[in-house]
Amino acid sequence: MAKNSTKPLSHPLLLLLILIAHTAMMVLVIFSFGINAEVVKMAVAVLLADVAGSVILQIVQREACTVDTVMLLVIGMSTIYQSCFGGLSFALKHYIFGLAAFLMCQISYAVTRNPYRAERWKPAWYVLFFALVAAILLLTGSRSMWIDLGFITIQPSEFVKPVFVLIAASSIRTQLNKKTFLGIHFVPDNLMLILCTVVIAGLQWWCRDLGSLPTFVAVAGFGFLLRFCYLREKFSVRLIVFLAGCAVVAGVLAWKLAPAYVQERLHSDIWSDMSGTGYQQVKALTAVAEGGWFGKGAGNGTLIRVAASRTDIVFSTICEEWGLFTGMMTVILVLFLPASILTVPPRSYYHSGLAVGVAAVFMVQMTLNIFGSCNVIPFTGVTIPFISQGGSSMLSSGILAGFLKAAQAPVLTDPVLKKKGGA
Amino acid sequence: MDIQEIFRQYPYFREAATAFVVIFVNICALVILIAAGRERRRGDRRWAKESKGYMLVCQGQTYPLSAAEILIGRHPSADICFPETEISRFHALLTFSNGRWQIEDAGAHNGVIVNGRRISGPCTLHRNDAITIGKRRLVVVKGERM
Repeated sequence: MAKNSTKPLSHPLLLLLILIAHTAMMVLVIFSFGINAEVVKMAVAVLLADVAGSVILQIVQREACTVDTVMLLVIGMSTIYQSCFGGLSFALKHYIFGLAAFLMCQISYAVTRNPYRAERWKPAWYVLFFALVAAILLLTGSRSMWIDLGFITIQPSEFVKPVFVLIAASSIRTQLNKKTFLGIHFVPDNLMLILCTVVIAGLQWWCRDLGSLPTFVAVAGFGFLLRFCYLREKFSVRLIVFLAGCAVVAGVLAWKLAPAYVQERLHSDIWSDMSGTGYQQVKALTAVAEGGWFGKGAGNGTLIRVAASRTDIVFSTICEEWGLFTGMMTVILVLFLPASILTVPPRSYYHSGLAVGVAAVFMVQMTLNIFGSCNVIPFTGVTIPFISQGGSSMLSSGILAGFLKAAQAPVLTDPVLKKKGGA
Repeated sequence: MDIQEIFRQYPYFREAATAFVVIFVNICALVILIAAGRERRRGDRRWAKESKGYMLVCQGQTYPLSAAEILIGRHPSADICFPETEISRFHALLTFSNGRWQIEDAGAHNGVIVNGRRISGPCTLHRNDAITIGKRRLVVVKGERM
């Protein structure tokens, strides 16, 4: 019995379930729009992606199927959502970026599945980090985060996130590598993380895009927490209290020193300025209320007329058209990705760091997006991974998902030891 | 009658259909969770096979080597923590790579002794090797297959 219980669930069974889930959603779309060319295009594209993705994984790689399965399910769902918002029109661009995110997941998995190699490549991650920062400073418009190539706009700050997660993760061996300068002991890796955190925080301040700052701060914070405490649940209470105190002081300072536009958002009452600063949030909240538990029906929403309805307030748009049940289910599915690491724990500390970093990015972004839409916190304008429209965000999320996969199916071969032929 | 017309006339029909989709996707998520649970058991078996199922035994207590890096020391954050003062806070580091376990001195004052010899660099561990850290003697044993 024990032996049988460890047999993996077959890819065909998981594929069948995904296909039925997507088909059931598309039946709802057909109920709303009837059968037309756009529905057929969307159905063929989504179901083809499910089959192709599953077959490729079956051939190439049979481990860590949780992340891939959830990704296929979520990308298909988000393509259906994005195609139906405010009327049916197949979201081809979103679909292509979804497929590209799946591909990026496999590439980042291949690059990081060996924790020893991934950590040895840290100098390359530093170079990439500073190259992206330089690109933001030099190639984007003044105080903006976007690079406009004419046919496409790229948000390099989204790609900084996975690189920053690679920098924030660390192993015990690296932490034991201490240097001494002027009688002060320090770990170079920790100094570099502090430097990178200061650089990205300064850059976000300069670009007036503080929405993503909590994400980077969370990744750095958890990175340091793991550095000080390692894992194994043996946290030092005094250290935790000290770090929590530092976080509170930093939070209060940030609150007091925040720019005027942030202060305005922090203190504004959306209901007293419904047509001004509170417009998006009022509309978003109203849409969630109007949608009720089961929604108005795919394509019957009105929130699509409000700016950022496909990105920053996409949760409200889903709730309006598909209902609060579906909205919550979507959130839970996306949270399955970082939560999958709880079922298959990492075997190396570097991979633990990567997994915690990815969980921080996903959790903070979803919290900011959903709570921002619901007026629990000020509106920040960050995306929900895999659900919001936006190629840079989608690709970045795919890369991050690859890190989770790498932590679940690692290759523990030290390339340096292999070259030397042993100790 | 057109299906869209039915939807318009009987909103409960649409709500039931939406509820079905939500329930089915949740069932799908549940099955993925079961798949993840099975992956965990497979992962544990794979790790046990790959890492040779080695564990450390000290004074009747067993310490499974469940990760590729195991820190031994006096510090509470160490994976294997001993309170004696002759053991440094971060005393020794066990690492797993290329199919073998190695131990190295993590900067301990009293050093790490393997089979009676003080090590100066990474030392590959084999079954029944004895590691001496302070007054503690840890023996590498092969555990039962998981």
